Amino acid sequence: MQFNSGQREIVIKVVYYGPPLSGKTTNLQSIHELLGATTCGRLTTLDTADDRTLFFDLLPLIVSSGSGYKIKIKLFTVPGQVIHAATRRLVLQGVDGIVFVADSQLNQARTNDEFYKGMKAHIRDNGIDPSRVPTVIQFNKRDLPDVRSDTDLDKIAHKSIEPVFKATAIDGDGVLETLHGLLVLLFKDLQENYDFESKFKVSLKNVLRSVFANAASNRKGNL
Amino acid sequence: MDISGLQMPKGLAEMVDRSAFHEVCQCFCDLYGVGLHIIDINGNNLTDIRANTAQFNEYLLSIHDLKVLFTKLIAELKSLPLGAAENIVELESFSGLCYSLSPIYHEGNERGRIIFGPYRTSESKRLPKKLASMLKQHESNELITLQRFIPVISPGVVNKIVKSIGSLVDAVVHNSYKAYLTSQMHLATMSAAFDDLETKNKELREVNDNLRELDTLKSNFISTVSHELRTPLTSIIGYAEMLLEGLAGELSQAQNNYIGTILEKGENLLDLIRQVLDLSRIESGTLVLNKSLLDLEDAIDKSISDVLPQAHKRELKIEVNLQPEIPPISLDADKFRRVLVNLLGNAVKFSNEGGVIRINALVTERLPVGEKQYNVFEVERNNYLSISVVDEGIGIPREQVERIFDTFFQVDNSSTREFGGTGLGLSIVRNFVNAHHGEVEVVSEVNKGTTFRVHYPYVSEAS
Repeated sequence: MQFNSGQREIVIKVVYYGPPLSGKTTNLQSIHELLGATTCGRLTTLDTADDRTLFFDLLPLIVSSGSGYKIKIKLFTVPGQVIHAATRRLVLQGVDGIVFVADSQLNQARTNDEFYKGMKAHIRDNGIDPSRVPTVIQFNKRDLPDVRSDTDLDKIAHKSIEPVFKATAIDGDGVLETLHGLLVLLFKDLQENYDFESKFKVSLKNVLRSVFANAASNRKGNL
Repeated sequence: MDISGLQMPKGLAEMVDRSAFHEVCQCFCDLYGVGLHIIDINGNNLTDIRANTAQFNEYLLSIHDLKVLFTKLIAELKSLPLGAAENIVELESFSGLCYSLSPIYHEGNERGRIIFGPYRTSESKRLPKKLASMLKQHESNELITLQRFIPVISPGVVNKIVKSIGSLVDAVVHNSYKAYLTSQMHLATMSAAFDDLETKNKELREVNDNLRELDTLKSNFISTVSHELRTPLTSIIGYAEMLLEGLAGELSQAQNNYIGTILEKGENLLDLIRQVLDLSRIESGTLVLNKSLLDLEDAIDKSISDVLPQAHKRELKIEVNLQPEIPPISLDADKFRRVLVNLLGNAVKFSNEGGVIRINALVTERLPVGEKQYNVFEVERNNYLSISVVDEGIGIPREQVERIFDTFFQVDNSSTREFGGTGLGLSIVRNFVNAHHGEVEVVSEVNKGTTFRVHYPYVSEAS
């Protein structure tokens, strides 16, 4: 978390991490579409000609806290390709919360695990205890064949330390639920570790509500 | 480099390519004939285009009383609060001309402002009353004349223009931000990758140092052991020779045979130990060359005499063909002989009974070892003494040719049983020749024979 007193803003960094082509960028694109321009700034993508993420994507969510502070939640993705390990570690610097985007396809289980472990190692390399970083896991690509079954995922969710969400990011399904789940964890962490609400005179509940204020009108159904 | 926050630089002027930005804005101004001033939050110019207003403003400034008002106007244009993003605020100046202002926002923060103007909102030829009262008649007239050059734009159109400029600026700022992030990430990634490499290199260096140390230990060990083996062996051979010479009395035929075998095996063993010792010297890097002018003919003769008994046993003929008048060359004579003995030994071993082994020596001109082209400056470096040892023996399979120089390599293990040897000979040959900055070549065909050529440079780096 960064606090810029001059601009009266608090910047929170969330990183979408996961193996290549698991749909990290798609998550951000869906969020951008679903939350709309009032909440989201521009989606900045630093990608290569073939649309693979080169350094990261960045989507800022900007909400006013009601107490004069602006709260910016910056959503970053990491490049999935193996050669960009150094970049992934860099993007994880100063991270406040993580959405681990896993590919639900059964043949991706090993890759998911490798990236998950790699992520923890990078966080440790950055001098942070990974168990202290609020993290949720999203099983994406639920629409594909040969994916881990819902029953299996429910079982996994039950045993996992980190909350597990299902999503089909390309259709926008489960994307906001995942973000919501992460922000709930993250705000709880901010409150416990920084006494956030009284320090900044901010109601995190209201912030959370503001983030998703326009979600309902941008799609059918509700959170 | 810490990129955790990836903050935008505070001033847009630091981030935007100002000359390109200026060009784009210039197009807008040319289209409407109106000035455009864009500044960042620190008051730095991103662009300042004056259009047709220059003369009017200059005249205003030339009138002393108006200078103060003009300065005040400029300050107001730069500091008037503009409110939220996309707001457009119109300001009418003391001269009756108007300016439209709009803030530049990025990620929810005000980053600068657009100042569009001055322009007129009507065709009116009058000056504002307050201004007129401060002017002399001819000054009023002049200003009214100059005012005509300033375009009249209706409020609706102004709003549209300012909005368009706003979108343009937004796009430019976004792209600049993107470029800025990319460059920051690029630097950070490079530096991280460099650090990773450094760490890996350091690890490798340490492993390498350890290996080198182990290697030295191994070579020292071999060297010591070989030395210790040689001393008693020399005694064994010496006493065997004395027995054979009858110094200890007459020997029976059987005793003679047995001691002959002891002597022969002892000499084989001594030769092996010498080779191991050579190899350990090569590996420990303590190989020293004692160079002197070589008596080539004598060296070849001596080498032949070393292998002659075995050659006779197999009824082999050894022919020597020396090019006349070979210029003298400086080599380590002992090592040269060992090279030749090793090559001859192999030729003898792998020739068919009754065959011929040829030794050719001549001066050749070839590309210097390790270089890709003929040396045109130091032409002597292209000159080599080339010695070839040619046999008509069993040959070496093509896929094995490169490996025959490896220490302890044998074309197939059965050859050890059939022909003897340790697999050290060619490794030593190559190392001795390389130590002279020379080169060993081999051409071989199975069942036709093998030719080994060694090339010694007349002039080398070391000389």
